[in-house]
Amino acid sequence: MSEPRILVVEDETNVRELEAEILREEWEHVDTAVDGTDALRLLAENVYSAIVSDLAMPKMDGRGLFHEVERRYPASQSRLVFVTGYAEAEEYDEFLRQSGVPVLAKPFTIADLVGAVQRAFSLA
Amino acid sequence: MPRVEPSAQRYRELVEQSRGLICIHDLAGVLLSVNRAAAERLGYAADELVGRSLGDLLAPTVRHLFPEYLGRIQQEATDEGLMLVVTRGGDERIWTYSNVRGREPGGADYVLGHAHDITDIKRSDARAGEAEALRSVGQLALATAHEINNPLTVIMASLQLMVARGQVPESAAAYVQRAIKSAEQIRDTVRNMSRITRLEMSRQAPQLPAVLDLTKSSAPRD
Repeated sequence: MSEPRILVVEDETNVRELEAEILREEWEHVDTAVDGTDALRLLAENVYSAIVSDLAMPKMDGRGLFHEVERRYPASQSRLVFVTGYAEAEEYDEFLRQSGVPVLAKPFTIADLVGAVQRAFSLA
Repeated sequence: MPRVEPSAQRYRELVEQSRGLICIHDLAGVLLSVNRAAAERLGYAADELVGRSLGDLLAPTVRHLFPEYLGRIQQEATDEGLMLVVTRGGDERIWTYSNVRGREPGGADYVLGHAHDITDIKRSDARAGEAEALRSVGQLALATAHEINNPLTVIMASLQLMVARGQVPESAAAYVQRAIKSAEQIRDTVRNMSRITRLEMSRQAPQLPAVLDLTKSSAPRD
C-alpha cells in the first residue's frame, strides 16, 4: 500500500483541526470531514488506512457512517476508530458492543490518538 | 342480638366482607360501627373502635381539622377528601374518603363513611417523582460532561502538542506541566462523575414502582 491516508470525522472545529494537526505530525495525508455525510463524499474519492470518527454528530453520526461504510466500502470497516466522550457512550453502548469498533475516549493524549490510528492500520 | 330481616342481613354481610373501609359515626364523630377491613387496616378489632371518636384515629398533625369536617358534614350532608389516619402500630396511612349523612327513620342523624387506603399509590407516586428528578439530574450531568470533554480535549492535546514540538520555552515548561496536570484532574473528575451518574441511573431504572408497570398493576393485589 502507498502512503497511508487518514480521515478525521468530527463536527467540533477545534477538536477536528487539532486531531488532524496531531496526526499530520506522523503522517502526511490527513483529510477532515465535518460529519458522516461529508466523510462519505471523501470516501468515494479516496481509500483510507484509518478513519477516526466522532460518534455524536449532526446529519449523519458515527453509527450511520459505520453502516454506510459497511454497505459501500466493507473493506474499510475495520479501519474505523470512534472517538467519543464517555458521557454520550451510553446511547451507543449496544451499537459499540455489536460493531466491535475500537473506541478512544475524549479527552485523549497524543499517544492515545496516534496509537489508535496505528492499531487501525494493523487491523486493516 | 336483635333479629334482622334477611335483606338487612345481606347488607350487613356486604359491608362486613367489603374490602372498602366502612364506618358509621354520629354527628359528634363517635364511631357506631366499623367494618372488618377498616378495623384490620387500623390494627384493631371492630368492637375496640366502637364508642371511640373517629378524630382520635387521625394523625396528630391533622387532628385539629376534625371539628371542621364535622361542621361540613352537618351542613352539606356529604364530604369527601383525604384523611391521614394513624394505626395502632403508629404508622400513618392516607385514606381517601367519601362520607354521607343519613337519618334513621324517626331516629338520629348518622354519617356513613366509606374510604380507600391509597398510601401505597401515593408513596409510589412520590418514588416515581424522585426517580424522574434523579433521571433529569443525571441527564444534565452527562450533557455537561459531554460539553466539557470537547474543549478539554483541545486544551490537553494542544499543550501536549506544544511540548512535543519543543515550542515551550524552558521558563514556561513548569507552568505548562501544571496546566496539563490540572486538565487531567478535570478529566478524571468528569469521568468519575459520568461513571457514577450512569451507574446510578441504571441502578434506578429497574426500580420503577409497580404501579407504573401495567402488567403488574392490573394483576390482583394482595
